[in-house]
Amino acid sequence: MMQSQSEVQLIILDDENYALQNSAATATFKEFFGRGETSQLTEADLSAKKALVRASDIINYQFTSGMFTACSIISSDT
Amino acid sequence: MSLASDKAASQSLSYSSGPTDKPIWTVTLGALAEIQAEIFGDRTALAFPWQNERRTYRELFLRGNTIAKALVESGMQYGDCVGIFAGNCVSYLEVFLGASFIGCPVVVLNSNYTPSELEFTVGYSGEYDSHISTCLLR
Repeated sequence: MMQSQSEVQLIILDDENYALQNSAATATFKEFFGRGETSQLTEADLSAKKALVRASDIINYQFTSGMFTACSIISSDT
Repeated sequence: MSLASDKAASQSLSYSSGPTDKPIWTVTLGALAEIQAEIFGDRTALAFPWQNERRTYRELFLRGNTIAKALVESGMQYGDCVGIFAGNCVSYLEVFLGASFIGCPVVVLNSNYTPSELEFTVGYSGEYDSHISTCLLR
């Protein structure tokens, strides 16, 4: 089920002022990137998460322009 | 260029083919980015002149790792969707890579969507935890 908008985390790529003036759930890209830089996740932890990924997994949802009756799904090995 | 070669070039198809004796790789995008970082290292992988930004293959891989960690720190897990509702920019590609490293499908949201199209697309994508946006709430 889709989460409500209030539960969605928003990362603003290009407008720091907007992000700073809005809710705690809104962050700038710089802040978001900082979470990665200060993460306690070790390289081994990250490698373990990467190991879960299979080449046949869905990598990207793309909805065609005429859509709402069809969509394309692209996986790593196509 | 001669008239004959001009004509030949204009009639050539936008199609090329490579050797068929070796099977196509079956590799994840994360593994491919790591391989390319090892092989091409300091060569420029992408350039965004309007942002005055460049990334080498190594930088792209390392920043992808950092974004993968940032997504994990944000509560994202394998299989969760990351939506991007933005124009072309360097961070767009970095987020795409970082998400793919940990198996989070990226949902590309066309910045020209009408509200109803956006609602449909987001709803179709199911679990929707993080939304990378330039202007969703403006």
